[in-house]
Amino acid sequence: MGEPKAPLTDKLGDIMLWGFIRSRKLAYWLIILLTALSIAGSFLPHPTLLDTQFYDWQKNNPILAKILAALYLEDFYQSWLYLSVVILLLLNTFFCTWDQIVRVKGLFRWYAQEGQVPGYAREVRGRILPAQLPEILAKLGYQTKVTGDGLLAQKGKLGALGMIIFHGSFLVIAIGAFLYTTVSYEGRMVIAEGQRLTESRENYVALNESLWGHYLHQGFEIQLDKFSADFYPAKTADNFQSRVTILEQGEPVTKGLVKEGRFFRYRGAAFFADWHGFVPKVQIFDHRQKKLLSGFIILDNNHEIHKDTVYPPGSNREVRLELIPESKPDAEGGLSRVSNLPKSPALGIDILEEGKLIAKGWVRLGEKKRIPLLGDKGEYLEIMFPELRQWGSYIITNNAGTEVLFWGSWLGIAGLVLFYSQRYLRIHCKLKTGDNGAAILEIYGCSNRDKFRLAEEIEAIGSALDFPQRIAGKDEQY
Amino acid sequence: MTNLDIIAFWVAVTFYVISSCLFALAFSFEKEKWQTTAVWAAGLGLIPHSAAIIARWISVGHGPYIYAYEVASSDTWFAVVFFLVLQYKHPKLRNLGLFIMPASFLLIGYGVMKLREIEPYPESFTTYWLIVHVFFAKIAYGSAITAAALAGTYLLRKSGWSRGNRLLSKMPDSTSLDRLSYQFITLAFIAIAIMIVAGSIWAYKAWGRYWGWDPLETWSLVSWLVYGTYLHRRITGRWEGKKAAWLAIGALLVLVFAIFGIPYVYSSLHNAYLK
Repeated sequence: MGEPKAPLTDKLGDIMLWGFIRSRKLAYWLIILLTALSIAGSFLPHPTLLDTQFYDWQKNNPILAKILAALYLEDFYQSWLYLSVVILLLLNTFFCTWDQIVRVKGLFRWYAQEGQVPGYAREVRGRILPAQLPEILAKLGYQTKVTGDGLLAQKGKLGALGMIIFHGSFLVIAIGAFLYTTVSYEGRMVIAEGQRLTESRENYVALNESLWGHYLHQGFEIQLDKFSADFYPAKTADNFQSRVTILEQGEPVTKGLVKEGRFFRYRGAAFFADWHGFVPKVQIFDHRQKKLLSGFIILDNNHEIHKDTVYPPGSNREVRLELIPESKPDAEGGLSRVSNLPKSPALGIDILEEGKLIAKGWVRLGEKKRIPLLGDKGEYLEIMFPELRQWGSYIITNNAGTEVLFWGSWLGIAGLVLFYSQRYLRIHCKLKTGDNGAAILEIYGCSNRDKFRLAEEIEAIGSALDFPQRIAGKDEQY
Repeated sequence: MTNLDIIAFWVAVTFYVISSCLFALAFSFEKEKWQTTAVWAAGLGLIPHSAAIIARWISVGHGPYIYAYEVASSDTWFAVVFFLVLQYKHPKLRNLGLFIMPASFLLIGYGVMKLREIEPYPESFTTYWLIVHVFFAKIAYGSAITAAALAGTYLLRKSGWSRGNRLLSKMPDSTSLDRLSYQFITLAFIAIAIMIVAGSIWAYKAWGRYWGWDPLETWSLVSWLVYGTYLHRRITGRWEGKKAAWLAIGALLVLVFAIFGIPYVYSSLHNAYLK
């Protein structure tokens, strides 16, 4: 019979899995794996609410798209693979941090006893002048404590706390990210000047809700009072600004400004400037003064081409509208675009019946015009364009984890700065009796990161005490 | 570019070329005087370089952080300043110019190839968070290039290839080079962390999200993780010497790719400005 197998425990009596999960080596490999997966993911597009790039990529790479879909890796950074590594790293961080808390608790209680002060060490023999030690150590910035067999000295305790804060911040960020992805929504809402819409699911033109995102809808109303934008001639508009009013039970409660780089927040919902367009008021009557269309029409804006098609109720006609912000009549009696600046807006109108064009014309802002029906003698339509407003669209987000993420990130940086600005160094000066009966003073050191600095300090102490001989010690960490 | 901007820029480039050549010659022929002249040339180049940056700042109305030319030029400025301050405090580290000055010259050359007409930039760029984001990106770049130069010098020393070189033998011992490289990487790691956080706050204010896995964002995270790996191994695994030096050089390549390489490989939100 061979030797009995050792139980699956480490020296602390914990099961080996526990030791594996909290090991620093695992942390190292997980960081490398996370780095590799992050790089791999960067080559893949991700499905987003407002971008069609992902769907175009799927069409162009059907085989890879199918493989990724089969493996549930389409949204790579939200996939089981990526999240598993993140969760494992978080678990590892949690247990490593727990171990550190236990150690650091000891630092504040001075419980560094013999055998518990492993670390970079130098043993020094020579004449002993214990009375000088506290003074030398105090000059080097150490707090000292006399023990039964010598002296303990330490400085930079906050540095040891810094690493715990840094690692702890990952857990805070993870909680924030969990809330961010499970209790959140992101949607797009289009509001015309003067229009008032309720913040509820049905009023979004596109909406992504996370698992519990629907709990965040508030039911307040938002009204767009005034929209303005800067227009670059022949280019897209920029610098959108919207003045909005928030209403609760029909009563205004606050006013705000939404512009690029400056969002407006109300009860957790943040409104971001997104896009814009025009809302002409259009009135069309037939020659018998029967109304075909009357009202404000929100025109779509596709790369500054402002168009839409309206199907008047109770009619088999369709009305195609196109707004030209600055126009001039062309040689064929139509309109040509001069620029995107809304200097002299004109509305082109095509009316179709069962798919066949029956009337075509255009009208400037404030004008009233008659356009004849093609093929029908004597019949005409009366078109009016009395008013032009604008619409703004807004990305509205509400994320329960926003604040947690924000503070978690800064907490991490604070921990990192603390760790590197306050170097934890511990020195243990211990009296011993040598083989020849002479007294020996051993000086051990322990640092959480800077053994060079520690070596310099021990050398400084040794030099001040005039030690004749130095012996290189072991190099471990606490 | 204004006339002053152009003239000052090319004067700076000329000085940097002279400095790079002098560093190489000083190292090859072991002439200490040439090395001192190379440092002076770098310092003199910094004056017109600063003038070029300020002149452009005034003419375009924003700091040197929107277009590839501006980013490359200001990153170079930070790298040269880092080097000059370092060699002033530690004259033994002058040989680092052998790595830093040619790298600076190449980077500024890349920037000038990317020079183009100034276009109006979005309102979302007018935020203090962008300034914090960019400032720490430059600190990160400056410290990362210095760390890599120190690591390169360490490897050069260890390789024995230039054994007996008088200038190299005057540099700090290998242990000190290794330690200094570690310290600069620590600074780079913290600066990248602040850069990422400030950038994500800016993104939240501009687009309503902290993180969108845009390739540049992802590669910033990758750079941070690579530097994190270095520090983690250094603190917990006692990675020192050659392994650490190679990792410091590799990490710089990742960072350079994250800043300048992304627009050529990916379609990114940042491409409109950085390409």
